Amino acid sequence: MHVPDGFINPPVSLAAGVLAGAGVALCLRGTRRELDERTAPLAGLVAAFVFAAQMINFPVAAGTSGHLLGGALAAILAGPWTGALCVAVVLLVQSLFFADGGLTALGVNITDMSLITVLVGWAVFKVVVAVLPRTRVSVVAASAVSAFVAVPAASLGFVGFYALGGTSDVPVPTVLAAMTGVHVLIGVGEALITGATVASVLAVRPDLVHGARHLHRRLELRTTAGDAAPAPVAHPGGVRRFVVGSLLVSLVVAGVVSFWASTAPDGLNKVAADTGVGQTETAHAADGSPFSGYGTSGVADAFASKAVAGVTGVLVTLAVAGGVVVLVRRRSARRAAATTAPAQAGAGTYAYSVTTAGSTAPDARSDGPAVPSAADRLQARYSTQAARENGAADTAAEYAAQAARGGGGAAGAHRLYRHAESPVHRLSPQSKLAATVLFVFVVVATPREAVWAFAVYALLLAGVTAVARIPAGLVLRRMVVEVPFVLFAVLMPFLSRGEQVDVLGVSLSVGGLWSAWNVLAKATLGVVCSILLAATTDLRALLVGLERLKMPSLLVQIMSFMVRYGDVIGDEMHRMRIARESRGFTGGDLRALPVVARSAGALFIRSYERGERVHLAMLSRGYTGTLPLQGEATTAAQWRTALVLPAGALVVALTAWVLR
Amino acid sequence: MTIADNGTDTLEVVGRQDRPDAPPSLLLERVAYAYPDGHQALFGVDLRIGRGERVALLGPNGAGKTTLVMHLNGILGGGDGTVSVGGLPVVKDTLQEVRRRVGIVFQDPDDQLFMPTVRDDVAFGPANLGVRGAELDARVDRALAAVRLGDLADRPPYHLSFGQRRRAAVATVLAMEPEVIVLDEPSSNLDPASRRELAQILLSLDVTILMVTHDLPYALELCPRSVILSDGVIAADGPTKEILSDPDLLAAHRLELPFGFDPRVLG
Repeated sequence: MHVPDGFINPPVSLAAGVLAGAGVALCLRGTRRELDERTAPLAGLVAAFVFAAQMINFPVAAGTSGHLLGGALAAILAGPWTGALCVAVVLLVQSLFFADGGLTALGVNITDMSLITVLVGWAVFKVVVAVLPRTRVSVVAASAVSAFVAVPAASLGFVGFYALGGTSDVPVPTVLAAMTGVHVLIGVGEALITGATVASVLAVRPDLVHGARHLHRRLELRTTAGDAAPAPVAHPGGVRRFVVGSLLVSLVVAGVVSFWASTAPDGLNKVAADTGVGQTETAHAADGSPFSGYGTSGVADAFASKAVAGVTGVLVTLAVAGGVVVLVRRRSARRAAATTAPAQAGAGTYAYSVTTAGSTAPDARSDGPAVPSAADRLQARYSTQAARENGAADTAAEYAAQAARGGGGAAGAHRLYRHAESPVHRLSPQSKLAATVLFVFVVVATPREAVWAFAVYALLLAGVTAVARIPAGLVLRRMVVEVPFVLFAVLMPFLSRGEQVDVLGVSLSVGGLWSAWNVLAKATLGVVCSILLAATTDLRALLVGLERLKMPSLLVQIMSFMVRYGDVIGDEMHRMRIARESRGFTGGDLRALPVVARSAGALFIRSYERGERVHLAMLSRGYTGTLPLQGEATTAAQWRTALVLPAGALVVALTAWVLR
Repeated sequence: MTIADNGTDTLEVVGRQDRPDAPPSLLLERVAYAYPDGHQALFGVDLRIGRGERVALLGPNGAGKTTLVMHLNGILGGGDGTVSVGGLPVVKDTLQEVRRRVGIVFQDPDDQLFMPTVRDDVAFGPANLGVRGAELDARVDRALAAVRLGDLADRPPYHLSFGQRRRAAVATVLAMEPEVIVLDEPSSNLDPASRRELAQILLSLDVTILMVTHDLPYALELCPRSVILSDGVIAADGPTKEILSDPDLLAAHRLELPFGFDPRVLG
């Protein structure tokens, strides 16, 4: 749920940026307490793990899929400070190096997906652990519950920002209902994977589960027969109760959602709710767009309300289907329990299919529609788009597709870099970073009615592209990332009207169209600007630039490690997938979850241990707490050149405000 | 050759010792160590490696080889006995200098190459020592030239082949101008050509080399002297050719020559 540029107004974006900055600073201090001098390599590797784990997709309901957000998981495995820091670093890298998530929305995204998720997730975890008996099963259950709560909590956080500074006219209750509905569903998948992953790490390296430290000490003190028995990982009964419980919660929330839908003031909703179940497919198309949830609200009240109704239908369907599967699984679990280890049988009761998108996307998509094995990035994008209806998951596919072609996830971003001799390339990275951020801020602050201003911005960026000798094709190809979103935004009003005109008259509103235009124009300009930055500045230079711009050195180190090891961890995940499949494992199978979760657990252990080895290697070469990345200072002339772009934009924006 | 009990009476085989009176590059006296969990890995290791020697450290899995290596630059310590490097005792105050003098090349080059580019990585060590500017650039260039990777300096390590990454890892310690290079399984996962290239590079270096390996032909090719570490003590110390020609000794310590390889046939 990466918020693009232009969705939240500049004052609130800035305030969120301050909040996020303060939060990250606190996390840096806290992480140093959790990891001491090993902070940089270990946090970097955990961030690389979160980055890789976010490629794990799970179907939420027929046709929709979510991907792991990983906030609660990271907090429980690595500790709350480290977890929040690592998710924040992932978001930073995605925004700065991959053009994913708006630069001006970075504060919103970090506050929402890192700080709120981890804060809520960790608090729920602690409460549940305190209530339940001190066993591993309790830790697993608490992990699942905390993940389940943390995801909708993040969506509430988003709604909070939207209420304060949303740029569209969609009523807050509608956004709230849509967001919560979608994210309760995602929360169920998140809960299952989080619980199973924590269980698998607990089984192998319990010492690495930060959230189970209280267990660890207790086990050392007591030696009763009960504790000496082989560790129960995920007790079938407990897991099943949890699955049933979370489905019940989903139903309750669904009820609340439809209540909202039917009392919202625009009068459309009764019809929408009545037809909701029948409209499920349409709702999916909306919710699953790259800007799932947000897109819905950005178009029209009518559609959003209908989507809500659709989500209600999905919830009911899921709950019924899930209930049936649980009943069916209960029998097979009993059978399995007779023959296999308790842990495996317990995990086998999950009814959700999960596939792992390895680091080579096209052939990794075993649950999507047929994907040509030699698909180029575009094809991969579209075909996965159909199956994978979550924006961020798509982005993962995007990175992965790059990995397949360019030789690695982060290396994919490196591939975005186009070496050339140009005045733009020669500018120092810090001046380019500053110019990019300022420019995007000016764009976002421009009144949406001033269409001509956005045309001028586009011309300015075209000018930069020409001066930088970046082939326009490169930028356009990369912008394909946005195409589904564009199509969605363009088609939606027509679709909605087509279905609703007879029922209601019109009401799908000039306001809704303006909102769509607003987000579309600003987000697209933001993406292009980020692409230009990445195309003219290599990864290392970006890191140097950040350090020069006074980003805390420790944070730059963690980002550097994340970028360096994102590829390595992604490769390990890919190898594990191949190892699984070469022994007959098929990703689309419904019993895949425990296997994938064990892989995720193993991946975490490997990442953590590699972090420890990297730390040793650093010590062996005299590490003193700083990474000696050498960069050059920016001359005044360079600053002047770089700032031409935002200054020009500022003139345009001011003119637009005056003429308004 | 002498087979020593508990590391006593070792016979010193001199390699390219340029100054016989210089303090030995590595001197270990009665080094013993137990991990915090109580597992004891070293039981009194005595080892003396002269300046310019190339020595292979052989031994089965679990013999304590890695533990021993971690003592050489002070990452592990605090047990019994003393370690000194070129006459400098390894204690807390000397760690920075010790880590300059002893360069460890770890088994997985991905653990060692953690910076965005090869050049940054090679510069990491000397920069930590306070080397800056032109002097730093010169050192990096020299180290990369020594491992023949000068043209790949600005590539991210991820884009290098495995053999190139291993050589880059060697360059990262060479740039610190160490007295001793310790290599952990240098030939593992290398194809024959990369293996030969690495051997040529190592033979061209004017440093003391301690090489931990299971690859006995590689030990014979590179190291005139071998030491067997078994169950936390030095079980044998002598010319590599003689050690490898003693089937009973090898069998006693779970060391095996590859099929068809007979060191006695080689000149």
